[in-house]
Amino acid sequence: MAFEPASKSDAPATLAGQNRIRLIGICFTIAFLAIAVQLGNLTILKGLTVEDDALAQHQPRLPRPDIVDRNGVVIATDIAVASLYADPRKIIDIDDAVESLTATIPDLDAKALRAKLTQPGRAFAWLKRQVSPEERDAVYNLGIPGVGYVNERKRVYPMGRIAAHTVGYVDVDSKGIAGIEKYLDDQGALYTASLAEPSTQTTMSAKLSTDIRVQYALTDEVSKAIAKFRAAAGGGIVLDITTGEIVALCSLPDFNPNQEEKNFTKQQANMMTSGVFELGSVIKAITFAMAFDYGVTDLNGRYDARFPLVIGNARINDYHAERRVLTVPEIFKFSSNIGSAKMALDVGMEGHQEFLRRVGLFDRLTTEVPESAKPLLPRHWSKLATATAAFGHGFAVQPLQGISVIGGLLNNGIMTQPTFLQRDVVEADVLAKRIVKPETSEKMRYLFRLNVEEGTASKADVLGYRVGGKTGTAEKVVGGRYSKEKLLNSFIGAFPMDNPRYAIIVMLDEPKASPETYGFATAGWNAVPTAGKIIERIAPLLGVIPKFTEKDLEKLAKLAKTPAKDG
Amino acid sequence: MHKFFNACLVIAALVSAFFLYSLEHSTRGLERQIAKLKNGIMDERETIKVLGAEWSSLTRPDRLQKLAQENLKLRTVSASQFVTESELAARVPAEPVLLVNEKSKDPIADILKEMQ
Repeated sequence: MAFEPASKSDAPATLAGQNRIRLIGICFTIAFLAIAVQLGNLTILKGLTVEDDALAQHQPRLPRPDIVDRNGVVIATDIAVASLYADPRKIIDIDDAVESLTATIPDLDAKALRAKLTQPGRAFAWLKRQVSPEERDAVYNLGIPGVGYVNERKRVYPMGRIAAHTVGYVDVDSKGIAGIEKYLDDQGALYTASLAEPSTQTTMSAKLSTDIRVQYALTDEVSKAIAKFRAAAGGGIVLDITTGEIVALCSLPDFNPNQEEKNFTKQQANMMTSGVFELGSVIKAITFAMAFDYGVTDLNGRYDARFPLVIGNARINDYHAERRVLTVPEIFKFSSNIGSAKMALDVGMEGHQEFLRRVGLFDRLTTEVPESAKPLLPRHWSKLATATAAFGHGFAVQPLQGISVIGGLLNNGIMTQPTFLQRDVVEADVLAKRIVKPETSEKMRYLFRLNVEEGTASKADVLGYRVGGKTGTAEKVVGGRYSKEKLLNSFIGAFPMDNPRYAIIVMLDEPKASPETYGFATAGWNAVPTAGKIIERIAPLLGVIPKFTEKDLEKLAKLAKTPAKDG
Repeated sequence: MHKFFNACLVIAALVSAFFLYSLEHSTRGLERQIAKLKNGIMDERETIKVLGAEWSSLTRPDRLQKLAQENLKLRTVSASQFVTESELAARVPAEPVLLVNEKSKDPIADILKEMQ
C-alpha cells in the first residue's frame, strides 16, 4: 500500500482524527445553537411584532370617520352595501336562476336579466348594485352557483337636508367635496388621523358643534318665513359666543347630500360663509361699540339729527327721520344714519380703520368649512367712506363674520374664532381675543336689550328669555344703484341679555310686503318675528332658564287679557 | 449505555414532535376561532352602523315634527311654562292625586282608566 503512513505509531493519527471530529462537532453545535437562539428569538420574543408588521402591510384603508352632532346623533356615516353579480358561465340552469332571483328581488326585470345571463361568453354581469343587507342574504341563501356579491362602502346622510351646508358631501370615490367632509380630507387631515384607531380598524366620530334639533328649528322657521314673506332666499346662524361654536347654520335654498347627481346650483351654496352682504344698520352696532371704546361718547351723548348730513355732494338721510336732537340710545333705537355717521366722524378715519382691523373685518374669516369670502370694504378710505360705512353702506361681510364680531362685542368684549367642531371652554379661552373693554360691552348689551324692549326689534321680545338685538334693512345694489324695492333684511340678536350666551342672525333676501305686515317690508316686520319664533323654540333646547322682570310680567298679563293671534 | 441514551433521545424526539403537532393543531383551531370572531365583530359593527343610520333617519326632527303634528296636540313650550324647583311646591295640588297601594298596585293604570 503505497499511501500507508510511513510512521509506525497509529495513536497520534487517531488522536488527530478524534480532534478533528471534536472540532467539527463544536462547529455544528455552535451552528445549531445559533439557529436555535435565532428561532427562539423570532418565534417567542419577536413573534408578535413580526406578525404585526406583516399585517400592517396588508391593512386596508381606515374607514372614513362618521360625523355626529354635539349630542352624538349620526349625521354622516359609511355603510357597507353589497352589489350582486353573476358569472353566467357557472350558472347551470339559467331559467331556474332567473325565476328564483326575480322572486327574491321583485324589482329585477326578468327579461333583461335573462338577456344578460344568456349572452354567450360573458363572464361577469352586475345583477343589482347597492342592495340592502336583507336582499343580499336572501340571494346568498338561494345558493345559485355563479351568483355572488362584493361589499362596497357608501356614504349616507341620514339627516338629509338638515345641516347639509355644514356637513357638505363626498363624491363617488368618498372624497370630500364641500363642508366638513372636505375639511376631513384637506386641511383637517391631521384631525382625521387623530380619530383613527389602527389597532381596532375603526375611527372615532368627528363631533360637530351643531345641535341637530336647534339646526332643524332654525331651518324650519327660516323656510316658513321665506314662504310667508315670499323671499328669494334666507338663512340664519346660531352661535355660542362664549366658545365660538356654531350651534346651527342654515342657508336656504339648501340641498340634499344623498342626491345621486351632485349638480347643485349657485343658489344652493352656503351663503352664510361664502357670500358677502351689506348688512345695513346691523353694522351700526360696531360703530357704537367703536365710539364707546374710544370714549368719544357714552350713553348720555347727544347728536343733532335735525338736518341731513352733507359731505361733499352726498347727503345722508334717515329712514325713520325724527328731525330732532337724539340721545345715543335713541340713535340706536331709531337706527339713525345721521347720528351713527356723526359718531364715526368723531372717531375719525384712522380710528375707524384701526377699530375694524382690530375686530378682524379687514381679513377673511376662515373656519373648517372651506367656503369663505373676504369682506368687501371701501377701496379708498375717505371721510364719506367712514360716514357711510358707519351705517353699513359700502361694507359687505359674510354673515358668519358679522355675527362673530357682534357676538364678541356682547360677550364682555371677548371674541372667539368660530368653529364647526365641538370645542371645550379651555380650548376657547386660548383662542379668545379681547376686542373692546368690558364697559363698552355692558353699554352694548343695554342698547341691544333696549332695542328689543321698545325699538325696531320689539317683535323678537320672547318674554322670559331676555332677547336683545339690532335690525338691518339694507337696500340691495341693483345695476350699481341702491334699489328701493329689493331689500336684504337681517336681525342680529343675543340671549339671555343679562349674560349673553347665544347670538343669532336671521337674514331674508328680498322679502315682500303683505297685508299682514301693513305694507311694510322692513326687517322689523319679517326677520325680527322670525328670529323671535326661532328663539322661542331653541331657548329651551339650549337650556336657557327663563326669568321674568316686572315689565315682562306686565306684558304677560296684558297678553293674557287679549289673546294674541297665532302667527 | 449509548443505546439507552439514543433510545431516550428518539423517544423524546417523537414525544416532542407529537406534542408540537398537537399544539399546532389546537393553535390553528384557535386562530380559526379568532378569525371567525373578528369577522363576527366586524359584522356586528357594520350592523350597528346601519342601525345607527336608520335610527338617525327615523328620529329626524322634521319627521318627528310631522308625526307630532298629525298625532299629538302639542304646542311650542312657552317660557312661562318653566318652573324652578323652589316654585314647584306652590304648584302641587293640596290633595295627593294618587295614593299608591290604596286602590291597587298599578296607580298609573287607574289614572288611565279614569281618563277613559
